[in-house]
Amino acid sequence: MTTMARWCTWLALCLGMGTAQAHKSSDAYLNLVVDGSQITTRWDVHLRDLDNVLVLVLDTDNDGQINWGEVRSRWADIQAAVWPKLMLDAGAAHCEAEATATAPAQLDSHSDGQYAVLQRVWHCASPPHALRLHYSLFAATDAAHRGIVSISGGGLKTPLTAVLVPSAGERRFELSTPTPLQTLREFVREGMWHIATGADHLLFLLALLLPAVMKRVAAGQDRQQWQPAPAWRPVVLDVLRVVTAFTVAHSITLGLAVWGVVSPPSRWVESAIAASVVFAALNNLRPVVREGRWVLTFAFGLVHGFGFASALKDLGLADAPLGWSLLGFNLGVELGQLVVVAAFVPLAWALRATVFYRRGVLAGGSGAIAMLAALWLVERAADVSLGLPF
Amino acid sequence: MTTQVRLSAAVLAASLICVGTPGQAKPYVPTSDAQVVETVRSGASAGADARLRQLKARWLAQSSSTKPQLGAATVYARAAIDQARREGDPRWLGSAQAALAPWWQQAVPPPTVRLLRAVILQSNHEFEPALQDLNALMADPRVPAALRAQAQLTRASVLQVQGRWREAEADCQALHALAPVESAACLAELNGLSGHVDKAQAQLQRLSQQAAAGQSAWLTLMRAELAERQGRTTQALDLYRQAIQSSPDSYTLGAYADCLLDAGRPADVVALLQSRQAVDGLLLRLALAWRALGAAHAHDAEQAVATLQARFDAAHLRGERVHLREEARFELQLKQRPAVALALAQANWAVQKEPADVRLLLQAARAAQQAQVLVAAQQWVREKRLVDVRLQPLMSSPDTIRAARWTARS
Repeated sequence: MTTMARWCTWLALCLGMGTAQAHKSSDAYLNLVVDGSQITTRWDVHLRDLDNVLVLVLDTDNDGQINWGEVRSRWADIQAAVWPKLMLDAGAAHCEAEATATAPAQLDSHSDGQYAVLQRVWHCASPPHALRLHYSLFAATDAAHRGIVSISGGGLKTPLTAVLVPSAGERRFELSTPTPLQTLREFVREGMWHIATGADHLLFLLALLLPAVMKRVAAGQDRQQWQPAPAWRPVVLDVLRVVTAFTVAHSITLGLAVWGVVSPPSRWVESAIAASVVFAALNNLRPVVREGRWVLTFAFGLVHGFGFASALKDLGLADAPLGWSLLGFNLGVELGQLVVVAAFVPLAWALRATVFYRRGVLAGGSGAIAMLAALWLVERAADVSLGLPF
Repeated sequence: MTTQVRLSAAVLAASLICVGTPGQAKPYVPTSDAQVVETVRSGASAGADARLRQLKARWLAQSSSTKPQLGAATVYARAAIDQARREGDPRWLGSAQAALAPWWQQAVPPPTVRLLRAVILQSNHEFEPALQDLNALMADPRVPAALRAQAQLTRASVLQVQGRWREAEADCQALHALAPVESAACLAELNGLSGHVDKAQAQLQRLSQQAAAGQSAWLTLMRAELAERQGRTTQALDLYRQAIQSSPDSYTLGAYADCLLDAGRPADVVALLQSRQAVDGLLLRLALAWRALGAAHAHDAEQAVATLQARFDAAHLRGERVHLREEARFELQLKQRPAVALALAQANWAVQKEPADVRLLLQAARAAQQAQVLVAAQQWVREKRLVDVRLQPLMSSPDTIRAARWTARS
């Protein structure tokens, strides 16, 4: 038979099929139960779909049937193939799946056959208010597959349901509206966490604080050097000025960026932050800006604010009223800063007269900070990785 | 798309109120390793399965490369569509569509892809989008003649399903040179539908005798359907049996089962379909057969009805409305809910107009005592000059219905 004839015969056969199809396409059933800070997930996937995934091939003896032994022996592979296809993000609640799903191999009977029942638990830092799901099971191999999801608990009066299309993007499910106090508390925690782990922000602050307990005095012709400051009141005032300038500046740009008024590209922002640290550190070694340090701090603080904004946006701002999350985050950052200042300044005051402080901490420390920040600048501006530990 | 999403959401919500949350049943652990838990294919596909996996492996191997290869994808897509037909399992259509994913959304994909897209769309009863693709293929002079011919054959089939017999005839006529057997068979079938039954019978018989090996199965099927419409039941059953032997796919099995049910042989239906319960349409016929067998199989019938209800509900959950004909039949003949059945039959009628569809519409309209709908359907049958003995009992005047209503009122 010619190719044409074969094609036509095949077509003639297939065209009769349209009226024969009375069977639904592939579905998987996803059930999420939110209980406080824990999300228990159950995912039912049709054995036939699993068998179709080439890497799995459950029907190993190729007799057209899958027996329990064949399923059980591939259980670990089934889990490894399925679980990565579900991404769950709860924003500020920070939900993480347990390392390995420990539930045993089980099946369930649905109307159109037997399904493998996979179960896993997510643990959250706090009760989630909203969940974002990204579903991509069989995205590349079955265009008609759908995930039928049902979410219950977590403050919901009736279960939320939806039909998830694989790789069609994220779907957001709101579980409850958090009270302003809850939002505030969560984001204060986030802000404090961010400043505690933000090495670039911390080093910038530190670079500004290092010379706060010193005073620049003339020491011979054309030379100046750092001397310990005599009185504590001007020191405190100077620290207050600098920290306030930083706070006000980054609050302004944090607000502007979060409300979408200004959105500078992140690579530019990150590079500028690194540059600010370099400048602040070098300024301690060769003071270019002396009296008006708070102006310098304000200017650089604006850039740091954009850096905070991107971190805040990553947490999923749609999950909570924007004003409260912004306020909370900002408060958290300030509290974190205060902790650093309160820890460092008294210690610096005590040690300010020592050579160790003047040479080691102020000069040596500033030098080290400048070098590290210079490396960051190179990394961020050129978009390369130099393998730095932080 | 938004209307569809809203409708799906509404159906989903409604279904869940009735069905309860899916996946809440208790999971179980089978007792022994040897226990069979799922069938991946019926006997119909035994030989083709290995080749299918091979083609799929080949397609997947190169699908992640930057330039997707048309050849591997289309060959696999064809094989997957074939498997869908044999098994009556549309997850294979989803797989075929996935193979064509790099080109699926294109307004003007490569011709081979476009043809396969049309075939998949029409399998999902999306006839208008399928026709758009087919018309475009026909109108494009750069498309090779062979492919255009295939597009024309597909279009003829879609038009026939939509009840547009004149237009289908024109397409079949045009295929005379490139695909003589298919063209002649198509014309014969259309003849048979529109009243020239003897001529059609003779034509198909002649074709069948001359036919090559691969073509005889569907020619036999066509002859069986024609014989059934003519009322020559014994011959029809014989031809169906022949067709089943060479090609036991779900469509042929369903048609054979319907003929057996009409002939009053439910026991044979049970024997035929007992192992094919995975396909909803076949389970439907099986349930009807069990019902017909009376008290001895009442339990089996009830279980089948419950399973079918669960399956339809599950399909609603995902917003699927492909199987309106089966669902209408289910509501009419198994659930005895004529009003619901009529709504479904009418929705089905809007999409497709084959003899089985008009029969269902007539039955549902009669059962629901909707005289206007009944008369309109009867009018359609007369205008088309459709010859089908199964419709005879349904063609009587609705005056009897009106009379019954008057009696009920007074």
